[in-house]
Amino acid sequence: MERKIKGKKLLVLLRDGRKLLGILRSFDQFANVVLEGACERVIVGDLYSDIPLGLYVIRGENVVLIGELDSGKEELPPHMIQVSAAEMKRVQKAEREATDLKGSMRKRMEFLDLD
Amino acid sequence: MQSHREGRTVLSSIFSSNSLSRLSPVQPCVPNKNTHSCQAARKLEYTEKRAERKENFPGNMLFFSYFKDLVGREVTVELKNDLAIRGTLHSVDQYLNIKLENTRVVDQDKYPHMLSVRNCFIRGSVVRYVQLPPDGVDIELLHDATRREARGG
Repeated sequence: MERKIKGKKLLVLLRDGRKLLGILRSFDQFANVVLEGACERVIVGDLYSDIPLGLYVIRGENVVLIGELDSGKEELPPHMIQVSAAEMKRVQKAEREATDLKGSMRKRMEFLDLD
Repeated sequence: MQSHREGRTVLSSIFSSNSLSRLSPVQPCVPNKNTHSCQAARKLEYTEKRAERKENFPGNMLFFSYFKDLVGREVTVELKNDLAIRGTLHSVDQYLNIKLENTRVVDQDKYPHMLSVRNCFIRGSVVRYVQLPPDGVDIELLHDATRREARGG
């Protein structure tokens, strides 16, 4: 089983929520993983982007899940749209600003809840 | 149960040989030596048996063997990041790392990136719950095993 998945494309979920894709080159009993040609898949809403990273060695404690990607199936639902890394950066920034605004608005309105 | 009883008989035989050596009045030196070596051998045998048992069932292996019995069943694994994955239990190891086959994520819309994952490895340390099939627990067996464990094997 383990032999079979070496050299296959995997999805590695990390504890901080990041999703890394790459080709499995090695792993051990701690779930330390070496990914070749790794990229991070950033998903915001219906947009996604694969940001290339290169060769990654992941320390096992950060790994949540290692999933084998079924080559016969699409990796993502059809309605999702791939955008460039630069575009994704802009989208992420806008998203961050929106949540920040929401946070600050809530903070400003806090006094209302006290009444 | 069985192994515990075995331990007891070995112990009692040690005691009986001890009392015998104390009772025998003639030639105190030589038989004493004999019984001592015999006793030592028995003690060795006992510790060996214990070690052997420990090797087979170390303290934290109860749930490992429990999950091993569950291999092939359909389970839902809920992770500490709230992701819940349902699949057939393929294997489990001493860290309670879990491998699932034919997986599907319970809340697929929330985790689109998991769409094409059919087989996966889940690190034991991130598991919060394993939801078992209703008939997946032999309570009597588990009771016995935990009692044995509590007694110290």
